Amino acid sequence: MLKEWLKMKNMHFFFPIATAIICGILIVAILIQRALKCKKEGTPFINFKNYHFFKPGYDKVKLWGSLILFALYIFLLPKIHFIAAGIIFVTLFNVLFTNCINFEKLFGQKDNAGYAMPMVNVKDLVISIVIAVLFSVGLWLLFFKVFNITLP
Amino acid sequence: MLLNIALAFVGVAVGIIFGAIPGMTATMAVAVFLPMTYALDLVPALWLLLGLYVGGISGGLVPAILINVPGTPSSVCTGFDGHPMARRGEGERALKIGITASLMGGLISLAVLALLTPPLARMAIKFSAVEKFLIILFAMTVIAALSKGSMTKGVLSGFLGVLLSLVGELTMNNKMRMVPAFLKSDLRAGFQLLPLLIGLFAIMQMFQEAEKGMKANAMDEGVDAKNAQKFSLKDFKGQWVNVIRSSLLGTFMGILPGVGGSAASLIAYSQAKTWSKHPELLGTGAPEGLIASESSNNGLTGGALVPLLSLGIPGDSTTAVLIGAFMLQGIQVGPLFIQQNGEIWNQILIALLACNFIMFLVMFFPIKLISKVVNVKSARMYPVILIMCIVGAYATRSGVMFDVWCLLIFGILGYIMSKIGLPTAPFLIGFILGKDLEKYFLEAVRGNNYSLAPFFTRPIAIVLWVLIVAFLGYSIWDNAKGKRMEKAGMKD
Repeated sequence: MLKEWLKMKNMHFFFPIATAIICGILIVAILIQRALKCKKEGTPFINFKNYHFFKPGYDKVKLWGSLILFALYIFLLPKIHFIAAGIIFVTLFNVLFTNCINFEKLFGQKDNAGYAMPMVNVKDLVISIVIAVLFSVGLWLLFFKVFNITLP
Repeated sequence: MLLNIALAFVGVAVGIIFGAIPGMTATMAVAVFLPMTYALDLVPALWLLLGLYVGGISGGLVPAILINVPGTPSSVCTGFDGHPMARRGEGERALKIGITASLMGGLISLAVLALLTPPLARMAIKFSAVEKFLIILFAMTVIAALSKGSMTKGVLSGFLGVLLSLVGELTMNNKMRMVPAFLKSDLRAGFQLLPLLIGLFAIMQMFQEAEKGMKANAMDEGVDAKNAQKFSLKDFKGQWVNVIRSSLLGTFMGILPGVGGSAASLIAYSQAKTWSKHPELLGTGAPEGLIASESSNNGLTGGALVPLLSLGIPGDSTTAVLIGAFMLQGIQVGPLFIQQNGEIWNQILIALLACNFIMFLVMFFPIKLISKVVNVKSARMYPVILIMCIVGAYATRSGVMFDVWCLLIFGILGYIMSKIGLPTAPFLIGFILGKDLEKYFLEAVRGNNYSLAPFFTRPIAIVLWVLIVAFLGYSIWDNAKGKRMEKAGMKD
């Protein structure tokens, strides 16, 4: 049986199938453990009532924004130069994470006190651009020019 | 001599930079500098390359401790205790403990290299695929130790990592498995370790912090670094057995060709946990775990040179590149190397000794400044980490965009895993060890006429089985004890 499985033409499936079977057994074991625990505690097996995938009140703009920006960064990286992509996206990530542009005001909202916040915090924006330029150019110089490592 | 020392300084400093950037490795540093040694004689070239090797292995501890992103695969375990220390304001102390442990590991492995190279090399070739399979299996038992509180989930996560590592072509019969047709060219060699590692740690953390609003820095809220415990040599009090055991384990793993530094630090970490008086503290910021991981991965440096210099077989990927330096100079490494090249052999030992001390000097004294990274706001740090991660992932295979996409894929996967309670560390360990587990199992079974008997009859294999069963038994007992204590605590 083992010999049949490990013949040259089949051997590449032996380990993946064995591992998948072990994973299946472990999933069943986890489900049984959960069923027993729920029975003991008198709670339903599936309970979506108090389940939150995201933390309550999570920062939607930063989470989804970082996901979209990262995907865009990778998509545009081979199309524009490493330095250009770095400057644009590191600046955008800084802007997104440091709130130096007031997104709430952009969408016509006011802060808790009812006052409109300044649209752009210029100092933070300048720092964002400086960081982006320094690191993009610095990494390019160090790795591409000095160490001759391929960069996008 | 001055030129040699200057080259070693350059090598160590550049190696540390490579080691500290997630995705860049010591192997890459040595490979990049190898062509530059054309113009040098063998001895200065070796000083430079050994500096890169020692620096590259050591540099990985910096991001592992400060931002919980292992700079190299062999520093995965360093973050388990180093980062919790940094979070409570002890970043400088953790770095200094790690660097000192690295120095000790390097020196112990050097002593082994100097004194025991020929007999150790002869012993290493007695380790067949059967023993190597069991050593990898033994390294995997660390998953059980890391999954305290939810062992089944941890083990499942580890096996999912193994399953993912098997994606791609099996080189023994050149057949692909688990690869969709449109990704055949990208996934021929499977998923690459470094993009997966960076995605699971760095990118996943970025998403987690973004969810929380990027408000903090890398330290826990309310922590005052000024009041944090400072480094002193007392941190090593009671740790000498741990240091020597971990260094020797690292050295031994280095001696075994094909068993990587990650396995070395995993085994050393699991052994530190087994023999610790307070195993429950490992993983929460105990210097013990940090010492085990760092002394073992630097122990690897001397160990990996043993089979290289005495048998002509590289112990790891970096020494495989080092062979090039000898070939460039027309020197054959192998059983007669030490006998025929006494002067070069002495220079290698002196260079390795010097590089370890230079590494210590270069890293230990500026560490106060480096440790300030934890004070930088997450909002400013993550964009910079991101661009470094992209450079590292892209350089993994010298320019494959698919590896950069993998950063995002594994970042999202890690984020989802954290949400459904599947731990990512066992997944990564499974991925690191999975391919070798399969390779040595298939080699062992085919080499023994499809019989499983050698796994249970060879003397070293029996010893390894005893260790595996004992360690698993201990982990299960420890897990049950932890749960009982947790329940008792809740009742109180």
